[in-house]
Amino acid sequence: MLLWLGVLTGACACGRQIRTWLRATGEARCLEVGYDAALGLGVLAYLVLGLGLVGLLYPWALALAALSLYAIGWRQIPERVRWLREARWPAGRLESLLWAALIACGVAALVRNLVPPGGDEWDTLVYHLTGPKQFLQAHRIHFIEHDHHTNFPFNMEMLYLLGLGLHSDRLAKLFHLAMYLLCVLALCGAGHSLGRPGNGAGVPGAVGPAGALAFATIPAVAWEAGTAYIDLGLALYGLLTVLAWSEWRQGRGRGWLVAAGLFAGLALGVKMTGLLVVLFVCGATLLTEAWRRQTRGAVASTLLLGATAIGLASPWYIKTYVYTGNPVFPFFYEVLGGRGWSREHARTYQEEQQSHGTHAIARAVAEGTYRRMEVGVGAQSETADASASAAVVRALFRRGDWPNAAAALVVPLLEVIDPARFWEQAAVPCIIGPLFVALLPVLIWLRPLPPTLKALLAYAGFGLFAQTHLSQLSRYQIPFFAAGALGVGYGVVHLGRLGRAPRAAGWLSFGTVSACLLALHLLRATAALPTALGVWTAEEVDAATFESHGAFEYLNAHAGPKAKVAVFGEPRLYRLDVPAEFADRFHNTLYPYERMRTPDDFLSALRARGITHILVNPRYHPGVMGPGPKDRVARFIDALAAEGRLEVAFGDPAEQRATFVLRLTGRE
Amino acid sequence: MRSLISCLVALWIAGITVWFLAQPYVGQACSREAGAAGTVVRLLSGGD
Repeated sequence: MLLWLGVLTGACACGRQIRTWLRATGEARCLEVGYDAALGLGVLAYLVLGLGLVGLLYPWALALAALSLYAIGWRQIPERVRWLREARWPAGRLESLLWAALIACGVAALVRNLVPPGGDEWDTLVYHLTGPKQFLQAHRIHFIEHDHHTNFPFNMEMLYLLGLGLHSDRLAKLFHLAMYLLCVLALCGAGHSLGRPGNGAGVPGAVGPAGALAFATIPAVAWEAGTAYIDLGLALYGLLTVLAWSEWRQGRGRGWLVAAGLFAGLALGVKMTGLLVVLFVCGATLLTEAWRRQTRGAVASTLLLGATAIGLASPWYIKTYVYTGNPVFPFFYEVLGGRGWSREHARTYQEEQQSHGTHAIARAVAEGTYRRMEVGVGAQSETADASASAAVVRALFRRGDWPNAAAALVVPLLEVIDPARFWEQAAVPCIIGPLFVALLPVLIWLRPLPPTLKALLAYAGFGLFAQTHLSQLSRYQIPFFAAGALGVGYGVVHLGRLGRAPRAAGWLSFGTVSACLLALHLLRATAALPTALGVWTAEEVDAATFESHGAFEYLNAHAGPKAKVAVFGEPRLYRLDVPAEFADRFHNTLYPYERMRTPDDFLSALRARGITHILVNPRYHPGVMGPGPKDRVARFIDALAAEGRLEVAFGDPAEQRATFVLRLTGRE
Repeated sequence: MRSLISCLVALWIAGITVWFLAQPYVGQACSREAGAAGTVVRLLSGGD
């Protein structure tokens, strides 16, 4: 915790110094902290990238990188300390209540960050922490051929690498919590800035905290705050890009345009879909300046913004190009190609990305099997869903699937009715809640809206529309929820303008939903409390909840120094210390399954890769040496085991419950 | 006109909220999370 706070303080000081150089300062204090810390953490991510590229990923070098934030920003520290001393609890009762709820959100998320990642934190264990762990072990960033994820832009993962190198996975996770807290602070501060003359004079102070609470209590957001995903990083940088751009639009100096470019570049360095925020601000600059008949200025400003953003993010894309031959690997494979990928992989990947949301609902309606998915109950019920909600969904899909261009119109409503269709599994974090659908349309009657709010809402709408084309997983929409949240806050606070009934309905809705979602967040944190407090060890919890724990323990203890593991059905390799690679056909082209005809071909491929052990999670790759559907790999392994060329080293394949390990016996 | 809009807005907000709260998954989620937290509390307090 102290290390985390130390890094964040350094990041604030460094970010403040950079904004001073840019002459892009002077905001509500909460928003200032958001800008400063986000910029400083961005600098830190690039310092770690630099260390990784020159092969200096050692704890001492990482500590020096963190300390260099202080070296850049030391002049700003006394001023920040004065700020902290002058900080006061809000005077109004409503604001106090909202801030208390926000603090409860932060504390609940913090508790979940004091626990090592569990089996349900899927991508954390697949690559957000596993990639940095492998880079740390090699002391450099290198090409990991079996996992395409490690070729994505990795700004957030550089912070996780720092956390792993200086302390543990808990420190790594805390950097994603930092993004959550900074989003909350930025929204609170942005609410204040709406009240500035020229932006929307007379905006009450509760707008920011109300918007922040609408965002912070979304279960998808609150869940992500407790794990090392990256969507909250993208949400923060996207939000700050639009806010900084809006400052520039209001005539507060060119420094803000450069700051917007820097934040957009950092967003693009977090995730490829950060390109959406770059496109949005560049397009908005061009359109708004051209509207004012300043064509030359429009082009110059757009070029400055775009070049700053793309220039800052370019190291990631150049690195990926050098490793794979495709700067956005594995996307656009048909056009750009890429190492270790194929047309079949590209098609499967595209189909998987397009399998959620309206597409999943349309399939179920067409097959006549549609029912709303149950959440957090294990097996789904088979009984017919005769509810009015299901009837509404069936009516919406009466003519088949919605084209992507129009789907954005119905996605928010469908996420209220059947949120599990927009998540990978029917788990509690899939819930989005109704506040955005209930309160954002009402803003039509609350015009004129402050310019900054209009910019945020335009970004949220553009992002939702574009993201609907790419993939309809609701966690990918988190950046746009952050931007839209301020509209929720503005709506609920200003409903009184329309009369007493809307005001009462607005606050009743906001209060009930926020209380319900906050309760879910607090209950989840309660379940993590014993591990956070050390009553249960992380080891005990992992053993009880993660089906691959035993197999990993076995391999870590007994596989030997020359072992290498081929993994089937289990990509969550973070806790496996033995060299391993994904061997399922959809992950890479390392194993030429299309040319394999016999078990001998399979065995030869394993030996050619230096494999000594096979790990199988029957939950995701059923049928290997047990009952269940048998694909080609299962048939090959069954045959090799029957001939004594593979033997069970750990676990019981016949049970098909927990992950098991097989060993190559060396018999010909 | 103003009172009609006022009435429609109030109905819209209240309707969407009630619709959300009436969805089965809201109860299922609360029950699941409360169950998990309850189990932890029971184990910590020495129950079986």
